[in-house]
Amino acid sequence: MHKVISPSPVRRLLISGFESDTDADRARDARYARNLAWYKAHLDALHAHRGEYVCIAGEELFHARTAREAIALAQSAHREDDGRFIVYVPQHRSRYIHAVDRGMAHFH
Amino acid sequence: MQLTGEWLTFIDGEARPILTAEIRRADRSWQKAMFLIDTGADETLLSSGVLGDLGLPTSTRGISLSGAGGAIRAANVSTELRLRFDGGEEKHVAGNFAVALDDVLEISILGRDILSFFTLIADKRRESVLLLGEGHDYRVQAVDE
Repeated sequence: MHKVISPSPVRRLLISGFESDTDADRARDARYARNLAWYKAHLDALHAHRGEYVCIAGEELFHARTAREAIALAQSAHREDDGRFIVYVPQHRSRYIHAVDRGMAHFH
Repeated sequence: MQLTGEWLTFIDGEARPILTAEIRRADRSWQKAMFLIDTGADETLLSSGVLGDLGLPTSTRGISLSGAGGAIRAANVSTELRLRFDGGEEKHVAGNFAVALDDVLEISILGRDILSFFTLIADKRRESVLLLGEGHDYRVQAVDE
C-alpha cells in the first residue's frame, strides 16, 4: 500500500468566477478530444509499450522510457498540438486498491 | 454547473471513472490531463508523466510515499488545476500538489481535497460520470423496472 504522508492536512482553495472559454481553449479541447478518441481506438497498441510512457499528439503515439522523452518526440512531430496528453503503461497488470488514509494503494 | 467525465477502459481492460482537467505549466499554458476519480484518496496526486510536461520545479520537503512494493519517491509541485465545466464556467484550485516521481501511476488521481467541493456521480450502470456544482443537483426516485 502506498501512503502519502504530509505534515499538515491538505487544504485547498477553490477559486471561482472564471469564464475564459476562449477560441484557443475550444481549439485545444477539440485537439484533445481527437487524441483521446484515437487513444481509445488504439488501446491494444499500448501492450507493445509496457514500462514506457506514451504521449498522444496529432492522433499519433510517441513512446519512450521517460515522460520527457516521449513528450519531446511528440512536440517535435506536432508542435502545434496543445491537446496532447501522456500516460504511463505499467509493466505488469495490476489491481488498483485505494486507501482511505491520504493516498492510494497499487498492488501487483 | 456540470462537468462530464467518462468511464475509460484502461490497458488492463477495466473501465474506471475519469475526468479531464488542466494543469498550469511553468510557461502559464494549460496542460490537459486525465484524472482517475478516487473518493478513497485524501488528496490529489499527479502522475510522473504529467510532471514531465509541466516544466515546474519540485520540492521533496515534507512528503513521502511508501507501500507494499517499497518506497516511492514523491515531491510537491506548486501549480493550479483548472476544471472547465460544460457551458464555459471554470473553477481553479491552486496550491502544492503531491506528485509521484516513480513510475506507478498510469494517470493522475483526483482525490477528496478537490472532489469534496462538488457533488460526484459515478454510475457505471448508466456509463455516467458527472461533477456537479452550483445550479445543478440530482434526485433519487423509485422507478418501476
